[in-house]
Amino acid sequence: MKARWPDTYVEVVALGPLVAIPALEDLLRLGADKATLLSDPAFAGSDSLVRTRILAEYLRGVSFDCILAGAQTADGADAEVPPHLADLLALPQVSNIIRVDEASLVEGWPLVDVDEGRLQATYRIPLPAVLSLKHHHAQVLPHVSLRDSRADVGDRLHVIDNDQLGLPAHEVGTQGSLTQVVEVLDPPVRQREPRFVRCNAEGIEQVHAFLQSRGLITHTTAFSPSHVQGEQVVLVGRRPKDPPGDIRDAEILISGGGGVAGSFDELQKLAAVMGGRVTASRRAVDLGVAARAIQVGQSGRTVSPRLYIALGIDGAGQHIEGLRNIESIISVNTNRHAPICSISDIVVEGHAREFIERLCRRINEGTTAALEPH
Amino acid sequence: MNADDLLAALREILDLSQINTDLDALYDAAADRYKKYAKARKVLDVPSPIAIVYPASVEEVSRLLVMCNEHRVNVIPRAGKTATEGGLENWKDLSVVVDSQNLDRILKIDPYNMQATVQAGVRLQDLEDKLRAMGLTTGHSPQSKPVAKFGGLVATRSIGQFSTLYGGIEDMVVGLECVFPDGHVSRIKNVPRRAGGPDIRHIAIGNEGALCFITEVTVKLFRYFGENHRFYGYLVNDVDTGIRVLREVMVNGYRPSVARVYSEEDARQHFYHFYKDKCVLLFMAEGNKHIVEATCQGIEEAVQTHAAGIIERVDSELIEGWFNHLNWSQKDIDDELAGMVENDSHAGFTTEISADWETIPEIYRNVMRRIKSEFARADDLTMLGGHSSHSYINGTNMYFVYNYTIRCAPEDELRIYHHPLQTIIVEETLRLGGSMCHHHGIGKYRSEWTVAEHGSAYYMLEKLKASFDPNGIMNFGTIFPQEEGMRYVR
Repeated sequence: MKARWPDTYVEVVALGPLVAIPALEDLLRLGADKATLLSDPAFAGSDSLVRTRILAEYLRGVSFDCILAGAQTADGADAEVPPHLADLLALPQVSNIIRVDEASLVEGWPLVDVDEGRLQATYRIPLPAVLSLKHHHAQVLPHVSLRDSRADVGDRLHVIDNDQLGLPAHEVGTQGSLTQVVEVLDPPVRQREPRFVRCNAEGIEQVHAFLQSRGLITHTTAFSPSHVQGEQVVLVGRRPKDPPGDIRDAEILISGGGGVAGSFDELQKLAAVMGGRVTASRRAVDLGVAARAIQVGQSGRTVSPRLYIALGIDGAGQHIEGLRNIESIISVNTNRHAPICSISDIVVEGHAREFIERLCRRINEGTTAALEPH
Repeated sequence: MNADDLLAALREILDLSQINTDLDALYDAAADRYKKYAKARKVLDVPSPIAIVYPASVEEVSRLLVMCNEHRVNVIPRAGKTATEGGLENWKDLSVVVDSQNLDRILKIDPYNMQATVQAGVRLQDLEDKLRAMGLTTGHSPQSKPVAKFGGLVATRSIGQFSTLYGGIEDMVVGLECVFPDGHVSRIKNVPRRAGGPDIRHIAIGNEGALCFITEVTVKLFRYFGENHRFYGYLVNDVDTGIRVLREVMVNGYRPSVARVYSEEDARQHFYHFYKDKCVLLFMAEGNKHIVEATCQGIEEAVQTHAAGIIERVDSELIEGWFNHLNWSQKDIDDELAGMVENDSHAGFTTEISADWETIPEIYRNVMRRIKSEFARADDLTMLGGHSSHSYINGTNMYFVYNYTIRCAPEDELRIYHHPLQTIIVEETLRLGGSMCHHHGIGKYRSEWTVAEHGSAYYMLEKLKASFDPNGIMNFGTIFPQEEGMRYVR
């Protein structure tokens, strides 16, 4: 924005310890006009509501047209600050933004694209407003070059402590907070105690029961409110997501590896029945049966679905590196020693094709089906 | 001489089909895997060579070197293209890459005398496949086996994953042929041993293209007993314990083909399915069954001796499963490249050093401490660990591995992350008397410490360069420090 509209004034406001300074300096080097760090040992342990109050206290004293925020705080990982902030400042707010139309923002009436699950909506927002961007949004900051990384930007960086803000000590930090963040994890998938089942009626019944117990067999529909709350936020339009959903946004992934190279297309059947997306391991992509865009792993995408079904995937470290925060993992493999089995809730010992056929049939039968004779 | 003159001179020696001036190929030839990320992001800061040439005979190599020597054209010898330390990077405007692609014949496999002769451009995998069909092996298996070629393997003093039994490439080469900048062709004959003065094989082995161009290699062969492979794995308390067990096995005279210990962090990358947040110690025994039995006994006894530090044994099948997925192929390299472009990141870097048994744990501890306390971007590190993977009677190696979130422009990454990390590792290693490069070679980015690495013996190395390459046309900046090139380093 600074490059296209040099008159735009950009201030970066952060709340946190002094270790945030290098990151703020980098933003100044990228063209921000001013950086403000609200930092005081007394703020430590503040929960999201208190953090919002601190930010609001500062922001009430400055003028702005628009507040751009991320989805989550860097440490607390909650996604509450932007809506809280809008509430405290009495501003309209929109979350899950995947694109802000910059020209319309400069004109004062921004158009934003919002991810609504399977759909994508465009809203027109009155300013001032709080706009909060989703994780995988289209607008990524450039890097600071080595030459610029040495530029002294100290004169544009301001650290403000609580003496200057003047909030009562008992209202900030752990004292003022009703909730506490104990730990924030983005853990790689860990070892589980897998249940080994065979790919027969009994095994499939167990898989089905497991999926049901975790609420993974349901017909999901995209959230689609009939009208939009808010006086001036205008829904301009709503359409299927474009480009077609990123695999990182899917809740259920049906993933195939070298073991299913001969029948990779079968995966689509299960994905359709379960409302999921098909993904692939490196090996499947190497073998030419899957596109690189759906590759999961270190050199592909990092995914966090609720359910990951790994068919014929051995599970090299590089593949597992792409799996984060996954609630349930089911692997279908002929080798019970395959590494991926160790991180699975259920290991189905057998062939993928048969598994797909049986599970699809079982799901289509509904919840009351009895064991078939075998 | 300018670029056009050089191309004209090349055309006098070679056929047009042997001269590659495709811009993408030249860009690719400007750097190796050291700058893999900057290269993938198309922001390389070094000049591209003028041409890549593919001589088809030792005579053509000789004529090329004579011409380049006469006109002071920098020559970068290349075979396999899996270098990781900048050895294939170009620092000169007037450079030509001499690739061994057309020197691709397996000349002789001699199962009676247990040796095979190949040209420099033969892929190790191709020879190994032929040998396996005959019940033989080279015993050489670097991770790059499917891609690496003999010229490069010998020029960089490469080592394989079974080195603890078979040795490094220097233990395998019995003779070779190489060409010097003045065009002279030297052939070192193939004999079991000789006492004919200093072992001149070592002038060529490990020269990294800075003294001569290797055109032909003869290596030893071994009987292959795939059916006898045995695997052992253990979870151990710490790296020190693992190293003590490795030492116990080695000093008792056993030679497992694989003998490794991984730090917890590094173990997670390879053994997440069984490591339980512990260090992993593993062995593989191979060879004829009597030796394998004895080696297994030796491993079990050594583990028993240090039982206090051993947590539990790991199912051998899990170690075997790991073993069966060891090497990476050209597809892995291509995939890594695509991933670096798409994800704005890469899978990290390594620095490999060696020292005696006593010193290795100290270097490891010091490096860990210094990186965590001194490295300015320590907060960006997502992984820092290491493993010992090649052991000897008097010591072992340490392969430091690290990964980080890249928070800078791609072209600055090495200066901001890798090089400062490598500097700490090299400084600690040299300070305690170890070698700063166990098996990747010096390349260009460790050349600033070549003099410190060799101390008073650098005299000998320097004289070799002055004698064989007086005009400094061979792989400028590699091994031998060059102030002019330091702008690419710091």
